Amino acid sequence: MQVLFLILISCFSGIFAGMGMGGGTFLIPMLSLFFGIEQIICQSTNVVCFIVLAVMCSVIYIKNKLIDFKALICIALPASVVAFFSSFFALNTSSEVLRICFAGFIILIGIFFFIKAIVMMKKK
Amino acid sequence: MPKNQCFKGLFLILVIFYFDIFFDILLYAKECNICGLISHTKCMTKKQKILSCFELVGVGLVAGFINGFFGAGGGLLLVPMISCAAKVESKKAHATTLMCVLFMCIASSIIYFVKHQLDFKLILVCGIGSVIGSFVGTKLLKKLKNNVIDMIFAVVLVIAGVCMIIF
Repeated sequence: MQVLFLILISCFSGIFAGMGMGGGTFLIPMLSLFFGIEQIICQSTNVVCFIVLAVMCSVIYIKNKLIDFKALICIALPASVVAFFSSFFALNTSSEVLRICFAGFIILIGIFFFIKAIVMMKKK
Repeated sequence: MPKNQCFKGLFLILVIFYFDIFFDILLYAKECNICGLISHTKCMTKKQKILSCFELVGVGLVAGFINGFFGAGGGLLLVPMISCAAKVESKKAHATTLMCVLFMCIASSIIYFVKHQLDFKLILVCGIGSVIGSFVGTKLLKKLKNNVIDMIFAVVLVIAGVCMIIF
């Protein structure tokens, strides 16, 4: 039963991801709210799941020549170095603090999307 | 963990966020031409090109920090930023973002693997679900209105965030 529910939730997060919004920002709170999984495990799950998805998608994107390689190098190099160290930082932070920080982060993202939707509606 | 250290970390992160989200909204406003700023798409001089390169590096640093620390959300911030800083169309921005986040995720998953923080059963189940979901999502994308999805997403995120703080 739990497995079915897990698949359903990750299915929803996949739908959001397929639409070009963060799937992980949906998956992580659901995992930690409904299943009581530790924050750091949620994060690692999301990261690895995303790799599977992204490899599949990026093959298609490379074939269709949709990738701006100059921008990719400019962003991906510093970003992956920083990501490497900040996940160290996350591992050394307690799960409680991480959870509260994440909650603040997704509230901010939610507000941002709200503003974006309103702006786009007004534009029309 | 000492309480003092926790609060220091929290404060630092919150400052980075506020700066980042503010920057994001500003860039977005610029893109929509709300402020009356018109982005020069085609007539970029050499100096501007170098400047946009620096912008991209800065954007990468912020997104890398967030994606590494939270394991999510780097892509959400990158899409509007790339489409502004590199002046590319939104489809291309999405594709480039996906590749960037892929590299970040590989970098952080190496650490999680080395420190034994992976739950392989959970990963398998969630992986299957999200692969199915993403196929549905890409199909649905053409049919649904964008604004409605944005609204739903926003409301879900805010509710989830408040619940996470309370419980």
